[in-house]
Amino acid sequence: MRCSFIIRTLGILSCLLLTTSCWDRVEIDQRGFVVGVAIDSDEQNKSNQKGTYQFVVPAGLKQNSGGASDTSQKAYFNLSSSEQSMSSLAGKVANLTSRSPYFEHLKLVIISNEVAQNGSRIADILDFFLRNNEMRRGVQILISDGKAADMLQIRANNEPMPVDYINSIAKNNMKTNFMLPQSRIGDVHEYLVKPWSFAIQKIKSEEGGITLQGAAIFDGNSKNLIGFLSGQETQGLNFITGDIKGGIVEAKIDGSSIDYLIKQYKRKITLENTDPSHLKFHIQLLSEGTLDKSKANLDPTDASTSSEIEKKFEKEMVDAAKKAVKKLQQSYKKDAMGLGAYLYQDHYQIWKKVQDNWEQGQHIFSQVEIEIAASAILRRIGNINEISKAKE
Amino acid sequence: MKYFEYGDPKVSALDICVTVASMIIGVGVLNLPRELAKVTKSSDGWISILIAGLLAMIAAFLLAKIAVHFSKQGYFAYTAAAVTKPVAYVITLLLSFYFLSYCSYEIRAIANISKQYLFERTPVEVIALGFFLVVIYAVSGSRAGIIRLNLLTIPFIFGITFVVLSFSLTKLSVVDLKPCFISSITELASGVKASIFSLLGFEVVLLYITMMHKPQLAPKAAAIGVALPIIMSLAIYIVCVGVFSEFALQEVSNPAVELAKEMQIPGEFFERFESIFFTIWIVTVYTTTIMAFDCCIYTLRSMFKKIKHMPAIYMLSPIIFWLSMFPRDVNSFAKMGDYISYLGVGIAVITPMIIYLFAKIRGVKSDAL
Repeated sequence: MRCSFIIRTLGILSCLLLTTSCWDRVEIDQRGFVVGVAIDSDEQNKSNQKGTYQFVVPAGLKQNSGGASDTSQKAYFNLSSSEQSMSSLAGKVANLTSRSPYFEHLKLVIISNEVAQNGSRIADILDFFLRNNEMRRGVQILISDGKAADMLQIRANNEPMPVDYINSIAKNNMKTNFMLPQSRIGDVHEYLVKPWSFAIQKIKSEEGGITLQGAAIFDGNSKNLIGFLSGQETQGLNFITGDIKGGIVEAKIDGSSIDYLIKQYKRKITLENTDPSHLKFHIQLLSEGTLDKSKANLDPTDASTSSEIEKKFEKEMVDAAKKAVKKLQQSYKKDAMGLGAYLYQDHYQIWKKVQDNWEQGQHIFSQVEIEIAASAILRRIGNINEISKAKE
Repeated sequence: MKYFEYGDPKVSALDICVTVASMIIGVGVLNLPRELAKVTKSSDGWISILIAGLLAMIAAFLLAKIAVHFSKQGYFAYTAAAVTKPVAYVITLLLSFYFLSYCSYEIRAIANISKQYLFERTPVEVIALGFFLVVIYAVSGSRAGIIRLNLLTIPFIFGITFVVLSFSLTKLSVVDLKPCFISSITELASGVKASIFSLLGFEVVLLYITMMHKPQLAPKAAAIGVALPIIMSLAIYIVCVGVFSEFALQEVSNPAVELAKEMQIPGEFFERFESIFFTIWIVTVYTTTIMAFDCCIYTLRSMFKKIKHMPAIYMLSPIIFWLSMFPRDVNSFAKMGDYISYLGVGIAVITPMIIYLFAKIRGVKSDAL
């Protein structure tokens, strides 16, 4: 009786041996939270990549309740190193810091144009971020015009870390249409496996700060960066792809500017000529919005004035779109505006005939005719009618 | 060990319906979207799922219809009467081996996925062992208890799937679903094959029919039980194509888990939803694994009446665990899955139908009223 009691107790106690530890335990104070990564090419060794990692310093994020903020400590620090691949780079960075890099909270990856230009290295780099389970498919991807590491050193106004700052700007396409909607790594993965060219958000330093105006255009075959679009061309591209969430269209009447704030936007593509050698696309840019700025001596309540204003805006939209088309069709010969995807989705039989010669071979894309029409409807004119009745 | 005996060891038609559904919903549904995207074009995989679903429903209905004839004597006795004892031994042993390998497969699959998403550094053997020990614990109990457990878990499974799918809708782009109807017949056919494989599991009705109060309700219950996972697979597949697009879907290892990772609950106060999704999904795989193990024991003990329940478990457990650790890498594991599915279609779906024909010819005693 007693003996079996002892054996039982020992048996139960020995179960404790099984519950001593956890393989995956890493204390939170031993993790270095990486929030942003910038990748440049190494100047000495061209095959290497130079990675700059932005780590969070949790103490720097602390807000003093008394109001006097502690400015002695920054909320982040950057570490750089150079290595052949992204994963060996992460390993090397672990040699440099007390807290090993941990990517679960990664928000941003910036890749410099130099790296993205050749050898489909963007795919090589992103492979690490997509394959590894620590990262999520919501990580932002940006292509920098210039050194990527510089972007992580900007002075972030109003945000504790440069990464937060850039990340917030990237989501601002409600207010502006001069930049692309945010490029998540999941979307970029889709682009990389789809056969069409594509555009990724671009970042550039400007007057001490940064700007996300513009777009980086990638070739659908080699997946290499082939060039950038300017802000206005990007606006046109957004009009064509339909990725407009807001933003302003500016037109001129008698030398002074009037602005149109887009509230609702839709684009419609139709194929007018189905002969594969003479394809003709008709793109309609349908918008609704508010008059955001008017000028002196202009009464938008007047029907004829109103329609005249609408015409001006329509022309501006068409012009912007045409600029993007011209650049993509003639300079780059790359279909980053989704016409190939449109053919694939809505006219699969035609797409099958042209797919081998769309962006390569005979370059059918650069020969197709694209007709653009726009409609702007001024739904609202705002709080006032006419700003002033100036006489000349 | 003392056993708790249920007052009512028999189960109702609803229990059987849910049992069939929860047997089918395992790791297969997690991977089906990728398999379909690989073999079919655009979003045409839904046709394959529907065809496969229809076939599976018919098969389940027929199996249950046949099973009604041996709802008291059991599959082995019926087979023995129809095609002589030695043949019956071979057939039932194969069936037992099928369930055994099914069980191993599920264990390895869930261990693999857990390692990928939850336990990065824990060895896969340890994860599998931990899971398997809990499986053994459940199998040691009563059979009616296992079947009733399904009724408890299935609402959660459908609930969590619904939540994941509806929050994923923000990321869904409808244009990625186009174009429709561009896959060839052969492509659709291989899609049907992949879908059928993921819908296997309804064969449990062959064995659990003996547990039923009213076996004549089994055919309908089994057919409805198959319909539930079909709806689920369809919804998951469509959303996956819309979110990832067919091109990227082929390249994602576990689309349904990635979907849970990709989804965002508005307000950003609640992140990492996939861990909850995953926890509940482990439970569904758990019920599938228990039933596979239980069916394995069931078939063995129907042949060798002398073996008791617990010794059978002790005997089979090491074999199952060894078999689950047998595949070396992803490829050999996928191959193992294919072999098991072929075995399942052959031994658990087609063979019973042939036996039924023999039984008809030889006029074997039927339990049907």
